[in-house]
Amino acid sequence: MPYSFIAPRPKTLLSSEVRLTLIFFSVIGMMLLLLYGFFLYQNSELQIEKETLQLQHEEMREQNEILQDDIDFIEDQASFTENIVTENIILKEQIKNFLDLVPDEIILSKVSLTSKDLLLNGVSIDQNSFQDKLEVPLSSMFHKTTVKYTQLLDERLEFISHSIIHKEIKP
Amino acid sequence: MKTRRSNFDLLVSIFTALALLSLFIFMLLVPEGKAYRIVANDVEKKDFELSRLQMQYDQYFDRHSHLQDEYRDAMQAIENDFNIEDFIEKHSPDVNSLEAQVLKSHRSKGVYSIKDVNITARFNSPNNFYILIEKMNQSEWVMAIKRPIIFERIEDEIQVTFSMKVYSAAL
Repeated sequence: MPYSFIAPRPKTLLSSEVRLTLIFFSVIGMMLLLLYGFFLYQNSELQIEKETLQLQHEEMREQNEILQDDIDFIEDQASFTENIVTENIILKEQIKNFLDLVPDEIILSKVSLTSKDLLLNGVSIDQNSFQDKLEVPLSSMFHKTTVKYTQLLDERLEFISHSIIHKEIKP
Repeated sequence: MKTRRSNFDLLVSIFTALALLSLFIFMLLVPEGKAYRIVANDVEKKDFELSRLQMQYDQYFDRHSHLQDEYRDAMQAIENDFNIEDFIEKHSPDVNSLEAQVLKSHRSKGVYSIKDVNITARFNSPNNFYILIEKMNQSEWVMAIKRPIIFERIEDEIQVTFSMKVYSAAL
């Protein structure tokens, strides 16, 4: 019986080509698995980050609303206070402007200023002095001025002047 | 015969591996990847929105601080409760005599507590009255002077009578 010197090739379940193919696809599979793991991990992390951002978002919005309300409140209060201060200053200037008009020949004994009229009681040296120096400026400031004169014993003239502002009729 | 068997094994391996990989990719990897992209976009949007809110908050905060500094006195004045003794003590030096009387207290729309106060003051010159108004405007209360204002000559002095409303924040 003749003998062969060639060693027999061991029999394997899978051929080398098949093994190579399987290794190749296994490596690709592993990489895809890693990618899938990355997505899973990132999704979970991003979900947590999203929830945190949502909370911060709501907190920030609430804080903004509180600040905005506080700003509105301060502006309202400041505007209210400034209006009052301005009205006081306007009133003072009106009175100052009027009293600066009164000449030395006229001595006022009573001045009553309301929002609609001005009542003056006083004494003038004569009627012309009152008419020229006070009635004319009053006529420019008020719509209507009526004056009653009373002759005093010392030849001076007592007057009662009533100036009124008509209400503007809206069309 | 052997080569045909080997080729068959190889083809089966390749198609099986491709089928498994395709299943994995389309059933798991792609949906997870899409979810990742959506969540990442959401997080980016939330982050952008949060940055916008943060910028808005910074602007509000600056404005709030600025307003607080600018209107500190006005805000303090509206918080102060009116005290008639303090008022007379503070403003008496500006006039010859000063009397004040609280007529009534009421509320305006639940926002302000209002005190109606009658003032009678005597002084030598109208300048004292102007100074009194200016000092009242700078005082620690918010006081709105109301008409009528009545000036009367009493001997060498001028007596002024007027009312005012003192506002303070309702508790």
